[in-house]
Amino acid sequence: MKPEISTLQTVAIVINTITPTALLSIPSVTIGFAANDAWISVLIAAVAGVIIAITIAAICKTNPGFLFIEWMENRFGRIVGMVVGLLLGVYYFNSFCMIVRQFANFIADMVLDETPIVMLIAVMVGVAAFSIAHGIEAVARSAALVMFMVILVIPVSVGLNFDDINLKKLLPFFDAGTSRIGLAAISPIGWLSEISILLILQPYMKNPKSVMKAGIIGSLGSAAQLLIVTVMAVSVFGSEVVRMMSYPLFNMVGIVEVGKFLERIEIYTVSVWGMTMYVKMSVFLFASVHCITYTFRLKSIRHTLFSISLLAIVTTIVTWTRNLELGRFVIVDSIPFLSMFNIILPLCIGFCLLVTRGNNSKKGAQSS
Amino acid sequence: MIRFVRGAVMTAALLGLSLVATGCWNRIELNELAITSATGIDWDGHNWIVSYQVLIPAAISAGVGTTGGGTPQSPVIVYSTKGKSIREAMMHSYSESPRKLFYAHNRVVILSEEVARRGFNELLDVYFRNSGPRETVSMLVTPGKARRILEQFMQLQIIPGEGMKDIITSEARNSSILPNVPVYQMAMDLTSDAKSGVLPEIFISGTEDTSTLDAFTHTTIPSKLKLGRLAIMREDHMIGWMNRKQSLGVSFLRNEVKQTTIAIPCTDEEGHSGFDTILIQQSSTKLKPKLNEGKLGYTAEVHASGTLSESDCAQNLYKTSVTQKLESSGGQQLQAIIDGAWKQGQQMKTDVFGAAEKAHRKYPKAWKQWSQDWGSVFAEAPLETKVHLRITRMGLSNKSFQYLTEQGQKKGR
Repeated sequence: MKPEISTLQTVAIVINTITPTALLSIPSVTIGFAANDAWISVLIAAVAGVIIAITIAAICKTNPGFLFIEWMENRFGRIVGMVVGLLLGVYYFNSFCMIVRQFANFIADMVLDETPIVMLIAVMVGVAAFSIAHGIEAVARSAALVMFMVILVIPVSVGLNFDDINLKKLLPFFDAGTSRIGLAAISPIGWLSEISILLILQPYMKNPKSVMKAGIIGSLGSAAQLLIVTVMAVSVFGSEVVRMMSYPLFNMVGIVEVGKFLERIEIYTVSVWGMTMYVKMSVFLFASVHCITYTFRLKSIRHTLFSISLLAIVTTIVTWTRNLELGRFVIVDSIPFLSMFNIILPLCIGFCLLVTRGNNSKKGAQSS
Repeated sequence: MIRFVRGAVMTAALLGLSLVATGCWNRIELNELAITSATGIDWDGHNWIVSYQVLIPAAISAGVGTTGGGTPQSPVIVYSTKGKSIREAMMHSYSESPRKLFYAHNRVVILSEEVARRGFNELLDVYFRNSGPRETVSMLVTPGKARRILEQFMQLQIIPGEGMKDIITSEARNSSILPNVPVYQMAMDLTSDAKSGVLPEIFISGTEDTSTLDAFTHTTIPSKLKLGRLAIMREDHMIGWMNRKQSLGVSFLRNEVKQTTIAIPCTDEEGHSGFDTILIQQSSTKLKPKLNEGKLGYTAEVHASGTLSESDCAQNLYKTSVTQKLESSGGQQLQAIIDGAWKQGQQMKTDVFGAAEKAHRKYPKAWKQWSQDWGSVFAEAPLETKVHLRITRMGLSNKSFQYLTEQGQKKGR
């Protein structure tokens, strides 16, 4: 029996796959480069993100209904399938470790500064593994729930910060210069390209034809969140102070004071954001386990899951001994890393699909 | 059988886990924390001296000065530590305090004038780097030692730190002379285009200290904490003061006036002179840059409306001409206040009005040149003030009491 997820759930997964970590770094990075024009960069990135989403969805549509790795093997042969599967497996594994560490660092910075980071990491990986053990449907359902909470929380945060928002701080437009605005757009494009997760999700969809819709809506929804947060960060704090904040999103909610009874409410935003973060971790762990299991044709997903989770805990603990190293990695090194696996690799696949279109139609007809 | 064993093992594991994994790695009980309500920062030339006003919860819950059953206990205790950096000084508190200092409920941070004049970037860094202290803490400057401010008791409020925050927020809301400046606002102002900001002053009015509870056995206390002038910051340090009148002008130009009261001199037909008092309940200022033959200038347009709250001149307020005269002389008064503040700012070559941002937004190209030496550009920029004051209500009476008595005298003659 193949698990099935609805289109709405796919949108939820896509949004919760892109935004959680992006929300943390995007305001600082884009505002660092483009100051009060950061929102223009995010808009440019949104356009690029939709183009990427359309490309990925177009590739997905040519899939006659196999799981991604099986499809690759059917289409290009065992060797190519293995290479693609292994590359993606390693990519999703690395990203998973990075995300876990980012979240653990955040929790340690903000609230649990005396808890050993090992504990935090183990618990996080444990939760992600637990949800995957129940299949992608469990992740999909929680993603949808979490998305509704986000939709509730965003207007509330905007409303509470309403007094502090001064949209005039966005003026003058194009003050930073085109080159800086362009530079600032690279990082959000990198994050938005994580939409390539659709390649793996699409075969699980109840209605695989609607992948294009899910991709575009998901990409737009994520870009909208990034845009709201960037605009708020500039209009609340101006472009200078944000540069020294590690988590501007939470500083914004942190300054809310309504009378003497409503203050220090960032913990609510943090909790909802934390849930989106768990969805993101689950999705990446799922993708990694999925790729590796099918690449090596392993019999038991559960055993793969267990061993990959253990490996992830260890990797996460020893790879980045200082927060700063991870920060640099996320801001600078992740760009080639993200674009390699989310843009270049899918493009290669798409190109190969085009080239081999002729002989595949026969093959596809045979196997389906 | 296997099922039973499995069930038993699972139950045991669950029970065991619920004991071990309670969700807390370590915990700090409330009675292990020393909650600070105010922090003071002093500088002795080489070291930071950080003072803390720490709550004594038992004394607060018992109520101050309660009669009967033991001597009254002070609700707070003040002590200081010294260090090369602020956080190092805070670390030394562990050597003398039985409890761990807890800053999340800190309400105000008091800087001594010495610290303000030296610069306090370190303090802003501490606030943004650590998750404990909050960026919504209000900042105040005091001419003497910051520690002395923390030692004072306050009337009506048991916790002086809380009381100071209440005073400044209530002042900003009701008379708008001094603004409430939270730490994040200070950081934003100092990094803005003008690189300057303002802080309210707090001082001890009276010569003696009100640092013992004995003072509260009388109906008057020897001294009080009071808000005073406005401290002007440029780049990262304080460069001078503005008096309260200029400070109100600054509030108008920064568009921070929520409510304030102004007294306007008036004379009636009889030659009697007095004051009409207007409670301004709504005010908005538009400060706009303009270029005049390549030179930068500003216009400030104030739209204010209020209520007549006291009238000391014999006027018939039914007459439109009287009201109009009242409005125009009130407008002139406001204009003088605003111009005074602008002149003082120009004299100090410090733009605390947000004029730089406005110029940057409107003339981004010219700004690149102005920003080289904004202080001088600003000092030359003329301000044209237009005040539109509307007295929307006359209060509950339409004629001043003075009018009635003078009318009575005329009849009597």
